[in-house]
Amino acid sequence: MNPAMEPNRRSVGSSSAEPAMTSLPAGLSSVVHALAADASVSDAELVRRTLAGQEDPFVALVARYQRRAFWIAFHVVGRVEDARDVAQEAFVRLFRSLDRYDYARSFYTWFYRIVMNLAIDALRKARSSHAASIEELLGALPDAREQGGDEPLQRDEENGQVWAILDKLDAKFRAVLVLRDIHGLSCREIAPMLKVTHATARWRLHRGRQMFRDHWERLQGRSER
Amino acid sequence: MIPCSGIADRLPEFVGGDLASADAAAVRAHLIACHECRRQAGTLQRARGALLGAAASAMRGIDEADFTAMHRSIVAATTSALQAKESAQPAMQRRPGPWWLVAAAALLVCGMWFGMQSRRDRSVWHRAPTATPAASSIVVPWSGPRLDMRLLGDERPMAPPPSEPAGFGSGLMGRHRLRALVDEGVPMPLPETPR
Ligand SMILES: [Zn+2]
Repeated sequence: MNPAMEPNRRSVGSSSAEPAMTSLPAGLSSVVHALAADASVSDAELVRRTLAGQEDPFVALVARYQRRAFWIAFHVVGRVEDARDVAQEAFVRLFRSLDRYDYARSFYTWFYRIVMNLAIDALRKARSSHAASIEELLGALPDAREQGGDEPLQRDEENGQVWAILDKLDAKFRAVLVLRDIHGLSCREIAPMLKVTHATARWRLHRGRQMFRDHWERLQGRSER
Repeated sequence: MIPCSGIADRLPEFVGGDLASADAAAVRAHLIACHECRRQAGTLQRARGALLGAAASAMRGIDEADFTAMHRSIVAATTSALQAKESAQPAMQRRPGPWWLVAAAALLVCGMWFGMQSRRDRSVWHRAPTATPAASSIVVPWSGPRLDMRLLGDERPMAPPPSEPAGFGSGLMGRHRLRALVDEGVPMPLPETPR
């Protein structure tokens, strides 16, 4: 098994009901689809073929990673539009710096680092330009009731609280929480993505979980009153 | 049993599934016995569940067509980035023309450059000072007629004095010297004078 393909097998979160992170977008050409779906063609191989002047391998790389790039960005930034911009810019930057790729290292660590840099920048920019209110955050989120689900109203309220707490957390804690708890990456993988040591990544995760819990407990106590 | 203070610090890792199995077993044993730590672990667990639930709920809300559109716009953006990169390169680099034309142009430029260099060297202002063998030995500047020292009893006649001694302040001092230079050629370094 190619280690670069490892995160493909990961499901997001604990539930198995979420759409697979790896499913390819519709409308791909047969060549691109075959390349993207072929697990024996590694990411590094796709990079090599792109640098050799072929176009399809890069389109296949986009197909493989666009969903994860978008969701990581979304969970860090909290807005669909911003996440879409981050994902697109991440691929453009990836394309421009493809010749600097170190084949000895895993592709996704390198790529997620680009995504995280852009996402954290976008989050800080959004926070400095206007303090997002909880209503705004809720407005940016797709409404589960519109999807035909019969999720209780309480669940929506809880989701709103989660986003409000995430928005209160410092970007460095939020980033680790998103990558570890939502996207299931290990601290060893997270550390190079955030350009920190393994110990720092672990400490941030520890503190991030504690802070999230503290905020959560406070909000729960308030809503029970 | 591990004290509560030792457990509280490990609870986030325990709930996140990051503890090694031996450590996790120790924490679990403590939680069975300790109500307060169990309550804390429960809060952490519910908070984590809410986080994962909110993340997953948002993910169900995005339409598949959005990802298809996103794919198209990403590919379009990278293609235009590639085109911008290509157009930023100078035209010479992209279409260098026949090789012999490039070679001829290079030769012409080199020839012109060498021509200019040699012509410039002909000018006295640009010529480097020439090193002479004399430069390596001590040169004593010639400073006019000198007194002949001779041993006592040497009866040979003295050399005649200069025929046209220039008067002091006449502006002609040393004219005879110039003449002597013309006659005798370039003055040589003086031999060591015996004292
Ligand atoms: Zn205890």
